[in-house]
Amino acid sequence: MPILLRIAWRNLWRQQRRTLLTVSAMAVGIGMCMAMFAIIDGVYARMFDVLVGQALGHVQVHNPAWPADQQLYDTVPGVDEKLRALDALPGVKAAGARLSCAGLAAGDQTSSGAFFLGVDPQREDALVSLRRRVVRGSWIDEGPPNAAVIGAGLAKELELEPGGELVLITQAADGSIGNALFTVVGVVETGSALRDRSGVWARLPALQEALALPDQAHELIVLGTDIDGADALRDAVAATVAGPALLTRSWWQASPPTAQMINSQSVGKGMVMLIVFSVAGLGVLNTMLMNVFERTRELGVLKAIGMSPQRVMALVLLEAGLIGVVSSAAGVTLGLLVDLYLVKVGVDMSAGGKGLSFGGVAFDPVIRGVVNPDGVWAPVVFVVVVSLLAAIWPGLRAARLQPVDAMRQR
Amino acid sequence: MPIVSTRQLHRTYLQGEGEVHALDGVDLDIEPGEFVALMGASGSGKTTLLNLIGGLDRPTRGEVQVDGHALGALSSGALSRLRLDRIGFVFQAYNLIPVLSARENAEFVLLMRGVPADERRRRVDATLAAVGLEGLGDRLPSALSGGQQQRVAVARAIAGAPALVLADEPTANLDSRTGTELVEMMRRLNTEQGITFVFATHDTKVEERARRVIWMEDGKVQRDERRG
Repeated sequence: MPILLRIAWRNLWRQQRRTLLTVSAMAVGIGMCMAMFAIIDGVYARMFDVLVGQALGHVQVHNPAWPADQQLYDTVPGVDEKLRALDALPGVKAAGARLSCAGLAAGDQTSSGAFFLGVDPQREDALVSLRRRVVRGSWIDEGPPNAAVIGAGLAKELELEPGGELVLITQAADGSIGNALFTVVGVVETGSALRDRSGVWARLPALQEALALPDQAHELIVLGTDIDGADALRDAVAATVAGPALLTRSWWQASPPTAQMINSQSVGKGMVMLIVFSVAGLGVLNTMLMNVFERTRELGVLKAIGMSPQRVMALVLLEAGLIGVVSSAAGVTLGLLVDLYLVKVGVDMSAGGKGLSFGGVAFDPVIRGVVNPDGVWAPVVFVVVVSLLAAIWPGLRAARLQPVDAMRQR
Repeated sequence: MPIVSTRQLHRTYLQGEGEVHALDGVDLDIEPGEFVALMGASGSGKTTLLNLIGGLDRPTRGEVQVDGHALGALSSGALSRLRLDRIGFVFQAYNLIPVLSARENAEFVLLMRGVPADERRRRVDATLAAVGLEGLGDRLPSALSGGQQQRVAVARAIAGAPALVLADEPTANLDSRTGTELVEMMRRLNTEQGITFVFATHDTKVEERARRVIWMEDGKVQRDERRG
């Protein structure tokens, strides 16, 4: 072992309690960071999966007027043919069409404003599967062609249960009053208060008929096999299926706030690291300053017998670097144990037994950690760099010592 | 050519409002192979002179040359290199590196110089034998007596075969018998290996064994006595 490393390592353990305290603080910092990163990555992975994978899809096709106006007439025509073409397109995992409208939903006794969504139940299973969120009755594909599933809040308001009938009254695309009778086959709790209070899910053809929009939808949702290939898939969909008359966008173009939120993940992680390791850095600074102050005479001797200022500086930096390395080893061990728990068991984020929702989309309230390599190496690199940075000042002080002055110190 | 040469060497310290003239115009030449004792009362300037010769301190005025190098012209790094290559130090308080064993302390200068391992081992073995520390090389300084620690310090000072060894009160912390043994040992090294020794000391044992005694008072050379 090189002499400087040997001295640095042995010096580290001269003040065992102080070194252990510093190492412990930094190891806990690394462990905390790794756990926080696992949770953050888990939350964002889940959000991404639900918001992008299930709600937005990787690619969306709209009428160009839809994003700004969201008018009933702003539709995508020839839906059946386009869906067949999408099914045949390489890189497409699933595709679905959605038709939506606001209208009046009337039960036997009362009525309420509602948001109707027409979907193909099988195709929708691959996108947003509400099947498992049905709390009473069944999903729409298990009922008659005019089957509907309603949100739990709306069911309560309209006093409707599976087997009851619901009337839709709205404006149809041909200018007439669109109306349709649906048989309620299920009640769903989506986790989103808004959707539970106003949502009605029906088969796409039934809603197309009610709105006089045959073979049309307001959006096509395409899920690719690889999220990183979303932009390439967009281009393929635009070129081969949608054509220039329609607006084809990747998920991040369709929902910039979602993209921004998902990108903010790294900012959140950066903030955690900054806070944790600012404190840890002060710990190292304190330790190294005390080491240098206490060993002023000894450092003076080293300089007197010929150690260059650069080597003295290197010695102090090495000691700090070793604190960082030892802390990293302990911290990663601790962090991996916590990560293991977070991955296997997870954290229940539900408040009072209620589910989690974001942007109207329900999430599983148990967040499981996701361990990415950067969630391990980033804190380790950061802690070693912080240790070295914190040692620069004490190191410079040691390097600049005048031997004769330093050796006078007791 | 003298191994050490000082010309009109002054060192003034600020003390409170006033100045203390620790050295006041010292002219001195020391030839290679000399065994010199700087004697004088506390505050006479002998340690200050030793520090200036060793490049551990800078003079207020005047010039020091060691082994042909004008120290005033050297940067801090170059001074370190000169000390590493040409000067050995023995201090009153031993000043060993506490985390290194006796052997590692003796080896330290050679390691700093980048001497190959085989040669390092050979030289350190010989040096530890020369100072009578065979078998004690693996001990940490804390496991050695004062006399043994000072022998390690001497081993560290001479292991690199320096041109000059500067020893500041090397026997002050040792009992009489151990001090005598240490002085005898350094005298032997001076005779056998031709190493130049310069001591700052109060110790009459050193004075008795010195070939040259320089008496200092109030920062000046009072008397310079050469002995056969």
